[in-house]
Amino acid sequence: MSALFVLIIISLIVAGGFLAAFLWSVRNGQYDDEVTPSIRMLFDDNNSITKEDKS
Amino acid sequence: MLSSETKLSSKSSCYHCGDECLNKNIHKDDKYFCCLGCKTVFEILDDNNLAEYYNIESNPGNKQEVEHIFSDFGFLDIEEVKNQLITFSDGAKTEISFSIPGIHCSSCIWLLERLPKMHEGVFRVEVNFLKKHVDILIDEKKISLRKLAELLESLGYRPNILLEEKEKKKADRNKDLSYIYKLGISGFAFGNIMLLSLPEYFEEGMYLDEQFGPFFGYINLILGFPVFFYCSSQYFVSAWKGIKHKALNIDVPISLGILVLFVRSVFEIVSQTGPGYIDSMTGLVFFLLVGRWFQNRTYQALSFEKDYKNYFPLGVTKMIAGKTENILLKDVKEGDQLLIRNGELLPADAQLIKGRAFIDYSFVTGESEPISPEKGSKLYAGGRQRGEQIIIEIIKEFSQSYLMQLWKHEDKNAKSDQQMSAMINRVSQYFTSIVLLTAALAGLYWSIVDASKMMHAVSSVLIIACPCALALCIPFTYGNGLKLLEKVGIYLKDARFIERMAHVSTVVFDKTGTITSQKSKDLIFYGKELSEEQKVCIKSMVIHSTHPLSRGISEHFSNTSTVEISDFEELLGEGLNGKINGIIIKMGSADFLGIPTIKQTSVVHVNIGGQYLGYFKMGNIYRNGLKNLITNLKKENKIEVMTGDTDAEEINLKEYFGDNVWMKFAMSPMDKRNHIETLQRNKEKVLMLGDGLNDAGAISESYVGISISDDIFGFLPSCDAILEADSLSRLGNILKFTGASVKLVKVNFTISFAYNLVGMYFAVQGILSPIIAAILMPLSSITVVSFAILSTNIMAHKYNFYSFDNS
Repeated sequence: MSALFVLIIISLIVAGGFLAAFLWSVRNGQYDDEVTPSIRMLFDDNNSITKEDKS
Repeated sequence: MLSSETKLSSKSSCYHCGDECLNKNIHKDDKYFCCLGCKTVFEILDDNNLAEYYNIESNPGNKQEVEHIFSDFGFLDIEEVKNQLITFSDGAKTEISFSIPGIHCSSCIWLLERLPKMHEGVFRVEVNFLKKHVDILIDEKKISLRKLAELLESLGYRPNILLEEKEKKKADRNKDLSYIYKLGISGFAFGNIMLLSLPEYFEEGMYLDEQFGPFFGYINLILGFPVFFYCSSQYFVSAWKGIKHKALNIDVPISLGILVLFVRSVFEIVSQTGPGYIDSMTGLVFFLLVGRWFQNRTYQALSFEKDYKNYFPLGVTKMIAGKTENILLKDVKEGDQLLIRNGELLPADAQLIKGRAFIDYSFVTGESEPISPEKGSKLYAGGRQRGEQIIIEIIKEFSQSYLMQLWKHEDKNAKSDQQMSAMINRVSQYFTSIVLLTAALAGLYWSIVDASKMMHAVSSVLIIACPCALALCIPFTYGNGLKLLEKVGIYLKDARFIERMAHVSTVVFDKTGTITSQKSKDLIFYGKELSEEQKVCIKSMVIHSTHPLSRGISEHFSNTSTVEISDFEELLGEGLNGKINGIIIKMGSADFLGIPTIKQTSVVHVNIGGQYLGYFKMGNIYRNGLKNLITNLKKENKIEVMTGDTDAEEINLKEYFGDNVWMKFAMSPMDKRNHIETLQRNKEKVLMLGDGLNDAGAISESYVGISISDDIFGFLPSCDAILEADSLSRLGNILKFTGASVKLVKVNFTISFAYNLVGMYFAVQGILSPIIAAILMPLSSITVVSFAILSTNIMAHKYNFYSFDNS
């Protein structure tokens, strides 16, 4: 039965990882605009503009 | 004589903006344009290999008139303005964001994001479609902010530059984010705790190994910690504020419930006397947060924080010793001399120094006829100069001007900034008292009968009474109501106004622009009947002018052909001059043609070849469905009409409103405001509908102020709601819907009370177990939420929200 202790703790750590990923994505602004990317991806563009990173 | 005409065979629309082409001479190859401005944009795009713009959606452009007065972006050179707008800069790259109201289709996104192809100084553009907002990364050495703004305007995407406090924006975003964090964390904790608590629910944990009980308990406790200390903090803060103001708001019993749940769970788990109620606690917090989130979802692109400043330019051109300099409006001092160009607003009360002024005060008074003051006479802020540039001397600072006095009064919403409705606060007063009383009685009873059960019973009462469902009634009913109202074209500032609208007793209408349409095409010619040739002459003249009256006449003669004219001249505020085959044609105001006549507004006199023919007059067109609306409203509300215009329309108005409606004409903005004040002092709850800045005072004073607008982004400051002009006829149904919503909330309250009663039954007996709490709480919440959403949708059906028929 002690295997259950370990498994539950591991499962919580994995779940916590997803929570952290969610919080990070919110902070990163991935949910700020949910409409434009869906339109943008439909444009056919031969020479796509390269995204520069914000530093 | 009319041989060189170009026939307008069929109506064709502008390749750029989709408007009707009135002049067939503006075209490039087989593509026709309504005006030179639109053609110019096409040419710019074509030269830059960006004509793909027109393939994504047809006629995607914003109307661009070449006569259009380009705004002066000179103030963008001012360091202070730059600092406000630039979000990030490292010398080589600068990031700025603009709000561009013209963004309306996917072609807009395509084009704006390809700006780097047009100018090497632009690195990257990112559009946020819903917010109508762009983030632009530029090299300031290659393109200045001013140049960038001018580039955008030349394409028909005029940036709307507002100096919002950067810090405030950031704080707002952080507040939004913290809501989502809290939602995420409590959801996470709730889900996991439910999983770990599941074995407890069956036969009091008899399948659970002895060592697992405490283990699960401690994990629950760890997961519950952030929920208690972080996620639910706002309820404690709000409850504390309420108590300090001696008011028992809804957050008081909620906080009490959460607190007791937590303390008792900690006690049970640590002392190993039971599994605790952490599952119920996290569930409760999670549901509450979902409710808040649902209610607070707002319209992304609309900002209700607008004030009068947004209507004035940020910067003005100051004359110093014959030279011009850009300064910020707020730095304008008494005695400054300012240069006002064609189409610019007068930023403050001033005196005319030089130049011929034609001031259009329609912005302030609703009266559209421009006036022509003498040199040295006083001009008021808010007037718009038409014609040549003038020089004025400021006699009062911006904040002291007549227009500003209208807003000087205290904002009625400032006092009650609470999100919750008045109703829930009233209910929670009683609710909290009853709960505390019950807990005390149960404690008293058990202290006599069996003292060992006393604590258990008291805490159970507080736990089960936690008004989760009660707190969810309003967010979900009104939150869904807001969404449904948005569908019919009314945008409320927040959910409180549903309740306010339900209690409205008097509806006050403004006339011009509110119940009459500005897109009026009802044009009448007074005079001898025009011959076909005369019509051709008239139309050939007006197609060259962008004045609204000219456009109206040109639409009136949509089937008439046009001919070439020579020596065309447009004198702003006066009229048009031109020659066709040597015949002189004059059209315009009575003064311009030298006719002695009574002064009338919206009139165009016509003189062809020295012969006076008569005049055109724009009629007032009343919006569709007005009569039905009035009849409907009259059943339950008092109706009044007030207007800044003369009583010329009184007979027509009577036809729509009936004889027993109070009407008053020639009211100044201040009169309107004072009238609303008087009404409200007499305990009337006034709903004011207006459209112009002249109504703004009245709108901000009224119980519910609605700004009616053809373009929802151009609404008034200090309004509580925006109504799309086409939806005016639905106002009666909208009011009924809000009334029904309030009733639905009351029904929903009853449902949640019923659940509380059931819970109480167990609690006072001291037999409340975690499983009952864990079932009862989510069940009551779900019932309340589904009832709220279902019933509001049914109401929406009942009041025809889904039909597109506006009558």
